[in-house]
Amino acid sequence: MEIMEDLKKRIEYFKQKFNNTSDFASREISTKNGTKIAIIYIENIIDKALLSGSVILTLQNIEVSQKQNIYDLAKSQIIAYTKVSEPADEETMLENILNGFCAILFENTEKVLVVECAKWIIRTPAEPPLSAVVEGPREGFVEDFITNITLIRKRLKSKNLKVDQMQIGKESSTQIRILYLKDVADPKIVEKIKHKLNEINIDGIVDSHYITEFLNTSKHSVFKQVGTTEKPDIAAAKIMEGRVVIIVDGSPIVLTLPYILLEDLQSSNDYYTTPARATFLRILRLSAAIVGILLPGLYIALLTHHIKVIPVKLLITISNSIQGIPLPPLLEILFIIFLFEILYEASLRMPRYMGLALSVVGALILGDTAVQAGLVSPPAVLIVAITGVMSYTLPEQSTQISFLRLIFTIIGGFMGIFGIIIGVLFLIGYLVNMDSYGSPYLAPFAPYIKSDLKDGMRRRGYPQMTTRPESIPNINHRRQKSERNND
Amino acid sequence: MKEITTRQFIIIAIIVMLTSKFVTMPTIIFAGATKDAIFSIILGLCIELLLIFLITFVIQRNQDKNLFQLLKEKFSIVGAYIIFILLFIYIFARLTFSYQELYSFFVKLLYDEFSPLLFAVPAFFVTGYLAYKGARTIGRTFEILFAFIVFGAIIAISSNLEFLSFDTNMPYFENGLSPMLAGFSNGAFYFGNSICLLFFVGKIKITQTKFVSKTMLATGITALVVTLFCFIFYDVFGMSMQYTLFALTEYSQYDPFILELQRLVWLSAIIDITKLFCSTAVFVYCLGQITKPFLQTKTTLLPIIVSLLLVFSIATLLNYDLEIMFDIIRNYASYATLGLMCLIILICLILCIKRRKNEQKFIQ
Repeated sequence: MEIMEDLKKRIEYFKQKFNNTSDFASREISTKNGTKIAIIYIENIIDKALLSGSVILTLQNIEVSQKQNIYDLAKSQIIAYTKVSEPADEETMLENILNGFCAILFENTEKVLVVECAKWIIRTPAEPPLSAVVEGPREGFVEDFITNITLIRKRLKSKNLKVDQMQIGKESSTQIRILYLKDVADPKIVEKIKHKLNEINIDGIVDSHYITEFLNTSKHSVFKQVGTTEKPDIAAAKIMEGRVVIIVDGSPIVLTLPYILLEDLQSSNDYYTTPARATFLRILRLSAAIVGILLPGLYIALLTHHIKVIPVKLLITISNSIQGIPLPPLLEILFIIFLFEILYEASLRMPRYMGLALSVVGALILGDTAVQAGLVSPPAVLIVAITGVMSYTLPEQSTQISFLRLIFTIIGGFMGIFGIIIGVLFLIGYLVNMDSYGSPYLAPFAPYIKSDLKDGMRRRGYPQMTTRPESIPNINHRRQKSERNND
Repeated sequence: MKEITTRQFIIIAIIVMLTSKFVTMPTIIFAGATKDAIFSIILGLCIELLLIFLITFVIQRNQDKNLFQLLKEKFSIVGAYIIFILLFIYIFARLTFSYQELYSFFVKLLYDEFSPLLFAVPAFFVTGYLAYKGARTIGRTFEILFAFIVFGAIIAISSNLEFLSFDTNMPYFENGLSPMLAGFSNGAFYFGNSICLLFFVGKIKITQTKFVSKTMLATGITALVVTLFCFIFYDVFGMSMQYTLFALTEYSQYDPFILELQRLVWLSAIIDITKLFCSTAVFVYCLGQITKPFLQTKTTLLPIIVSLLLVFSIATLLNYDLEIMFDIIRNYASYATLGLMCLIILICLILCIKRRKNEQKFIQ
């Protein structure tokens, strides 16, 4: 490390290292004996009260005797207030400064101290908007990774909870933390995930979603392959199942791996209600998702190719409704799906109060006017509306459900039931073939894993869940003493 | 490489065994056996169960080699190739018939008119895709669909129970055993489906004890279901059977309740089509496995493409006409299948006995 003797020159040197950025700041002070000290830092990310009240004041009050060394004395006194360390090299020191540390340069010595003085703007943990629960914890992750680790540690006070650190992004130097239980998570899977993360060579990461695409095992798949959560209770539960949790600084969304499709059928609410109710809700969610994907396609297929299957009374109602509609059924449904997606997209981007108005206008006025104008038929509007609502019973899969709904609508329109059967077969064949870090995507249904069905479609009580899921690779299968032993 | 679980293998065995048995088999057997058709079916199912028993026994005893390696070891490379050629001919004919049956079933049940090309392209693609992805994908897909297939079978059996009279075909064996044997020889082609289970040798992770007995129990129940379905079908239709072509479709049209509504049996028929697709994928998989050693490739992509192109050409040449296939089955294919089944039974016996001798030598 090349550190010049003259403090001013050294300050100038570091300023140039930061490309003369305007928020680079330096303070020069003297101890009681008159030893010169310089402090350098980035102005906007520093806790100024801590810097002045603890660091500067302590340094100014130091009185060095002949036997003592200013460097060791400063280190021992500042450590009472905050974290102090000696950087291994210049690069580490610069990195530390960018992470909210201040560097202390001393006269007549090359040694440098870095003191943690960071002050980031941190949001208080609040209930996450997409994972609200009726009963159960309401804390959600925030954008600060340290707070997020704290929230998990609060729930897992285990010496086996390991936090591995990593930094990704040449420009962003984003802090990544990998959390897992050392005596539960499969070391091969942990290593595989770390290897994947190490391979990322990108200029910057501003959110956890950036790295999900690097972690995907099937690169071109439209299906979600990395689990996400914004609640520490869910993250802690997943760690206990043997999964690996990845926290990205700056993102309130935490990633979990391996990921299986069943996870999205489960909601945190399921674990804070009775097993019977949870089972009912899971069946409801799955049925809604299947109907949400297939209903428009089936409607079109029946209306276009297999009209004899529709019950007579329903057929009369439908034919009365579609009389005079200028568009063929397929185009009519596609038109309404298109409108629905536009309304959804617009309502997301509009300011909240306008978005609410837009959804009311969209649902009531636009739909009603289109029907009144004879452009679309009421059954078609009803079917798209029902399936649109149904797709949000699995909010984390809604994008995939919308995509599949569109595909099956087109297939049903062109090829009827035959196309839908072919499509379903292909979809199942495709999904069963997917694998997420050793976990089959459709486990525990395919392959059938009997022990995992305790928390599959049916949720059994906690006393019965004696083992960890087999579908998630782990090295410690037993979770609690068996029910018989508990008794 | 162990690709499928014991449970998946049992489901594959059930689905393969059920192939065509609810669709075209009852009619073709009735044409030969008339009133004694149910006994032809029972005889055929017994032989098929014997075949399954021997195949599962071979699978259990030879978990470290695939079929080709096993045959090469026991019958030399020439013998292995000869057996594979015979298997190729059967599976090829079975696959061609499956596609034709699927197309005809679709046209009959679902559409007034449907272009063969519009049928062939997606059907060949999906079955080819499942076969290319291998036994693991096939096994898992079947696992997901199994509950629906059972549901379809229950509907198919239960929907006409109220019309059972038990005496429509009585008395049995009026003309001795010859009608029964004629019916069996007409439909022997359908009882050879389980030959394709041979291609799962060395691919099953046998973790359960009593692998053979569990497989036999499951396939035995399947045989009972088929017998029950055919018994009800023959009893409800009686001699009018000879005018029907697709058991399940005709079956639904007879029921006055279903005539009015039809949806329940529609659902069952749709499930049956899905089942047909599944077993067709198994036949494609087997064909890929057979052609692999001939084409000397590492993956099954090329063998599957070549096989499917061949099947596509033959099916197109025959214009997806099921009547021509029926003639071929009745006059040639059934006898050939019977011969092949006997050969496979013999091969399985040799494989089991030889293995046993080797084991005894090793112990000594």
